[in-house]
This record gives sequence, structure tokens and C-alpha cells, in this order.
Amino acid sequence: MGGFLNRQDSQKHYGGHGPGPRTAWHPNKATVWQDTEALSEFTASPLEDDDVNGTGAHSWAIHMEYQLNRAAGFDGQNWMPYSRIINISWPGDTGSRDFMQAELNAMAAGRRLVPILQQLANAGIAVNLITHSLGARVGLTALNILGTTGHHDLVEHLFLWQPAVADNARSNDSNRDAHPLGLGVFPAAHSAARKIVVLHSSGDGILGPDDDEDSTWWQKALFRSSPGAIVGAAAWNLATTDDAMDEVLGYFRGAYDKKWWSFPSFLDNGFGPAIERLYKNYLPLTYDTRVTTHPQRSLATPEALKRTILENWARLEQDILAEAKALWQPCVDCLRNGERPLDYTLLAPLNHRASVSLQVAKDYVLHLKRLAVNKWIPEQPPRPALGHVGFDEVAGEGATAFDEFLDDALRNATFFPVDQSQWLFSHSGMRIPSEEVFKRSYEAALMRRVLDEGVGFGRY
Amino acid sequence: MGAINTNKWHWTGMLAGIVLLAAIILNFNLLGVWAGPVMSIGVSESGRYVISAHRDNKLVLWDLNEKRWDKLSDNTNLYSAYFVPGRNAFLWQDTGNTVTAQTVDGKVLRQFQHFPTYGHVISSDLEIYLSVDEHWNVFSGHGHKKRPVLNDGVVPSFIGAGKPLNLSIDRNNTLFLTAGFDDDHSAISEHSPLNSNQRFSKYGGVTLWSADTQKPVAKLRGNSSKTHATISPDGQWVVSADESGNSFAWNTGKPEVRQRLASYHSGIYLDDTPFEMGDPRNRDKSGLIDAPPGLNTFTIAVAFIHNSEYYLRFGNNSHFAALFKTGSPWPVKYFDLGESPKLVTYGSQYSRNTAIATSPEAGILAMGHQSTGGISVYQFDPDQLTLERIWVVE
Repeated sequence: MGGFLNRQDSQKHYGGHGPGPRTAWHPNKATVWQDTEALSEFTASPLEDDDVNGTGAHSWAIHMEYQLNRAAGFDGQNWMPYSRIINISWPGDTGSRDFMQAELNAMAAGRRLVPILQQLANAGIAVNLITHSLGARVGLTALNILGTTGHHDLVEHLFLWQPAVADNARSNDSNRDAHPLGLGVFPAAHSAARKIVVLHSSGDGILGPDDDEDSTWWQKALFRSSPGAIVGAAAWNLATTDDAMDEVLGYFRGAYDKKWWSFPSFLDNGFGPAIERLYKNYLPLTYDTRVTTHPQRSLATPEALKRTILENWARLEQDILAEAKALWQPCVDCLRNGERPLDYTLLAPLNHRASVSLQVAKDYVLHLKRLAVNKWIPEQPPRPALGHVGFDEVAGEGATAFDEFLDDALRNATFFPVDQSQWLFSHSGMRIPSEEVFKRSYEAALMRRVLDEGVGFGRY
Repeated sequence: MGAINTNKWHWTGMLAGIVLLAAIILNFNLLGVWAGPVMSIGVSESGRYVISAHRDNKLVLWDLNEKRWDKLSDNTNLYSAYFVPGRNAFLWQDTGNTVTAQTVDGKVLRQFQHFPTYGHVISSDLEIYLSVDEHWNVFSGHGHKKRPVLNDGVVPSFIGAGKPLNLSIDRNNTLFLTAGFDDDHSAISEHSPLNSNQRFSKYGGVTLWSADTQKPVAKLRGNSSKTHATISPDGQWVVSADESGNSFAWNTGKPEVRQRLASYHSGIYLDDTPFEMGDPRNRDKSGLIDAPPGLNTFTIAVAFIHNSEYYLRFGNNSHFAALFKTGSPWPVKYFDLGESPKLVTYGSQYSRNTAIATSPEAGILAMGHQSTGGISVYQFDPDQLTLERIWVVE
């Protein structure tokens, strides 16, 4: 993590903000961006960005805040009118090796975001929400819950920056959900935000196949030399990646396309690991032929195993329905009172819903059983990522799955697509942006919209 | 004897080498142009000449009658190729920032120093000169007569929006149009176009200007994000389209009345219905025609192809163009522009929407290619409503 490097005599060189420089590292962690170059003038060896601005989520947070302030007009001197943003981070690398677990984590975070947004709105603060990658699922979960509970236009702008959600995620029709468990679409999210801006790029190597013509020679060389090693890194990096490997991963047609696999991808075992982790107290739920073909390797006979499986399903179904019943009214009450809604545990894949009715829970069990019969392998591939294709596949003339609602939203300017393919070439290229990305993404696509609407970023 | 044979082979080999070299050079000249992809292009009103500025700073003059081309410069501003209306003369700027208006025969009509332009237009009498800079400021005139027309902030800009602020002027020099990046809904009266103290421009969207007063006449709103628009040769119509797939037309006599154009499959979105989004009653499909696969309403550019009557709309990542007639919201016909070579319409190249140009008087369309330096030229027939590719250079 970072810390202030303070020297008393360095004010004239000091390009960052925060307390005036003194003589030594401040014991507290830095929470605002500092100018590494300027501070390096007072150190024996040049400082690295990590030294002063921290690493991981901390680094993300302060870089984003600095870049947004800069786009709003911050000149590096008077930072008072450009104070702070609220950062939402959540566990994206808790050991999960599959995309669905990362999605469940994101939805849990989105659920917890709901009362915070309500609190800000109740205080009369205009809220602009900027998400990146799986953060889209966090934001859309929160807005879906708020939209369901009648909080219209609670958020001014929702910016989805290279969103790792389905391209039809904002459809109002959950029947269009390609996800077998129903967590791909956020049907009420649109109503909780006045405008929704999508910044997408076909150059995003994580979310989809990279454009071969724009690829650099070294990426191709790397791909040819060690594809196996790269696949292994994909799942781990998927939710948290921020490095130059983004593009390389794209040579596997993008990690997102394989989100319904568990990594390493050659296992191609669908949702198995995620489901089995979620329902670890109810296993086995499927009939494993490897075990029954060689009963000597198993303690259970085929008949006994089948009986156990049936009992497990009965128990799981009973507990799922019980959870739905138990949380229905408390969830409704919490949301009505602006309090944090309770988390679903067995029904975690439906955490993007305000509350889960008994009927929805029954349908969920049905879908779960259907998936189990298919050995946890979905019958259809996932929709392409919104952050990669934008609305090309769901609206306009080239749409392979035309969605009237999404097309209408583009026509009446509720949704704004911003194609960034020409300048954003990696999944996390916006964290420490090139000048081009800064001007095109931060200034033109984000802050201009925020400030033009009279919200006055940072001037709360 | 042995020495004679050796010499003979020596000469034969040399001759073969020369022939091979000549064949290579000839091949380049016959089959392709040695230049980077087209960045800006203009077509003479007569339809005979095309002028193009290329990514490697080359300036090329194309003669459609002779089917030949000449490289005129290696130091050209990428966004400076423009044909002077009513003359066999074109406008360009070199990398030393000298703007030149010259005839196709090389006679210099006017020459002056200017800032590096990101698009400029000039009237046939060379008296009105309008130009855009990298921050989407618009100026009229040059030298000591240069005056700001639009100067209200640095965002959006060429870099910020990923495209130039597109500029067009009618043939009568009464109105001109700017179109860049739209989502602003403020009125002209609320913000002066001359306010350099502010950071974010209020005139990035489609704006109609008086060429006489050089003041904004109307903000033509409704588009989203990257927007292209153009004015008809007679100044009666403005047509626009954008990367969200929205497209509109306005009669400049009634700029407050906006006509929404039909999407090719889903028809006209009706703005004021009481129905929820997604309700099929939000759409009027009554005038649609059969649409081939491969169309895209997410639009790169629009251009008039037959006087002020017909215009074309070019979709992103598509080799189809839709033909519209002014006054009607319905597509009239769809044209397959050809899959190969890939046109500039491929690859979300909004920064190269200036590589598409027409002569509405001659019905000629010229387009750059996605990644090669050649052009494709098409002839529109207003009677048969056909668009035929008449010349392609790789």
C-alpha cells in the first residue's frame, strides 16, 4: 500500500495533492494520488508508482479518482473542489477459479450497495455510478433491486466501462436470459438510472476475440509459444486483471466467451465446480458414471448412490424453498425502509433480485435440476459480452437476437453506446490511461456527461 | 567461345532482371496505389476528379476518365483534401500548414498559412473559408481576417471524440453545418458559441449556422454519441446519423421539426407514444422494404448522392449503403458496395468518416478502403436507382 512521502522543502515541485511534503514516509496509507515523478526528486532512487500509490484495489481507486478529477478540470494544484469518489471494491480473487463464483461475489456486493445508494439519494446527492468489467454486475444488481422497488432515476448516469455482462443484460425481458440459472438479465435496472452509457471495445482481449489485424507481433509470438500457461491465468485474472496479459488472453476467443467453463478450460466442466461449492452440503447431486462403472472405487453401490442423490435433491429443494419463504417479507421490508437487504445463500444466483418469491424459487430448482441432468453443462453458449460487442447483436440491423426494448432505449437516448475500439486495446487500459484514452474516455465520454448535466462532480 | 557464352548469359540475365523489375513497378501502378489508407477525400462537382489525403501524408489526384492517378505531395495534412464546388480545383494543406487551392492542372489559385486543419470547406469564389481545429473550434477566414465562429471549450475534441467535427456547406453558401458528438440538449440562447473559458462545449452536436452572420441558427438535436451529418447542396435539408443507430432529417426552413428516419428492419421509432419501451406499438413499419442481411444502422457517415434529392447512409462494419429520398423517412433501396476490398466502413473508423465523399451533381461516390491506400468509385443512376462500382484501385 502507498504512503505519503513528505518533505518540507518540496512544495514547488510537488505535483500531487495531500499534506505538504515533509521529510519522511507518513505512516498512514495514501488515499489520494501522488506524483511519483515529482516525489522522486527527493529520493535516492526513482520511486515506482506502487511505492506511493499502492497496489491492487487501492491503486485502482486512487488512480481512478485522480483521472476523473483531472478530466473534470483538476490542474494538480487546488484539489478542494474536486474532492472524492466513493470506491466500491469486493472480493474478486477469493480463490474462485470459475467465472460464476466471481459473478456471485459481484451480485452479493451489488446487493450491499443498495442502501448506500439510497442513503446518498436521500441526502440529495446526485449519484453517478462508474463500473468496470464485473463491476457492471455489481452496479446492475443494485439498480435492478432499486428499479424493482420503484426507485426510478435514482442514479443520474450509470457508466458501464467494458462491462463483463451479457449484451442483453439490460433487457427488460428475463425470458431472453441465456443463462440457465437466470442471472444474466437485470430487467428492472434501466428504470433506476436516468441514462446508461456503455463504453465498449472490440479490442478488449478478455471480453471477446481480439481484432487480429490490430494485434502486435509480440502478442502473436507469445500465444504461439505458450498457450497452455496463459489459459490457466485467465480465470484468475478475469475479474481482477489489470495488466498487459489482457490482450494475450483474447487469443482464446476471449476469456468471457468461456465464462460457463471452469478453468483450466480443457476440463470444460461447465458450472460443476461453482454449483458444487455453493451446495457443498448437499453433494452428490449428480450421478457420476465413473464411480458406478467401477464400484470397487466407491463406497456406494449405484443404487445406494442414486438414493443418496434423490435424498440430497429433496433436501436441497426443501431448503431453497424455505429460504425463499423466510426471506421474502424481510427483504421487502428492508428495501422499503432503505436498509440493507438480506443476502440469499442457497439462492445466491438470484441475489440480483430484490426478493425471491416461492414460484421463482421453484422455477430455479427446476432449472438447476435440468442443468444437473446435463452434467452442469449449459445447453447454449453465453451471450457475447456487452463490453466487447456493444449493442451490435441485440439492436440495429445486424442484430442476431434483436431486442425491441434495447433498440427503443437506443432510439430514445436512454442508452448511449460509445465504441472505443479504436483506442482502448486492453481490458484494463483505462486504469492508468494513455493521453488518448484519457481524453476520449474520461473527458469526452464520462466527465463531460456528468458535468454537462449540472451535477458538479466533487462539489457536493 | 566460352567468354562469348558467358557474356551472352550475363546480358540475358540482366535483361530478365530489368523486365522483372519493370513488371513489378508496372504491377504496382496498374493494380494498386502505393499510399496509406485514405483519410479525407473529395470529388469534383463534374465527377471526373477525386482528391485524397492518405495516412502516410500523400496527396493523390485521381482522374476517373483516364483511370489514372498522380501523387502530388508526400507532405499532406490528413484531413485537408477537399474539392472546391463548381471548379476543377481542390483544396489541401501541407504539413508546413500552407493551405493551397489549386486547379487539377496545377495552377495555384490561392495560398495562405493556417493552423493545422481537421477539416475545411471553401466556396466556389474562394471567398468563404471555414476550418476546424483539433479542439473542434471553427474559424472563418484566414490570416488577419480569421475569426472564431465556434470556440467554447476543449471537450469534445478530435482526440476526445475519436472523430473530426464534420463540416459541410451548401452550394449557395448560405448555411453550413457542424456535427460531432451529440447528447447536449441546451438551447442556443443558453450558451454562446464563443466562450473559451468553459471546458465542455455545448456545440458538439449537429448545429446549423448562417454563413452570412456566422451565428448558430439551430441546434438539431436527437442524435447520440459520434454523429455525422451533412447539408444538401441546395441548403434545404440536413440529414444526420450516429453510432447509436439514430438518423434524422430536418428541413432547414423548419429546423424545429425533426423527422426520424426508419431503421431498416424495425421501422420508425415513434417518439411520443404512451407505451413502454419494447412495446411493438412504438414502431411504424408500414413503409419498410425488404432488407438484405449485412445492413447496419449504427452509422459512420451520410452523403448526398443525387442533387438534394437522394442521399446514402453508410453503416459501421457493413458494405451496404441505404438510399433515402429527402422528405421521406423510409429507405428507398439498399446497395451492396462490395465485400472486397474492405471499405473504410469496416472497423468502427469514425475518425475516417471523411474518407467518404460524393458529387451529388454527378452522382459519383468515392470511398477509401479499410487498410489499403486505394479507392472505390461508384456511379449512381437516379432513373434506375442503381449504384454501380465503376472503378476500384486496391
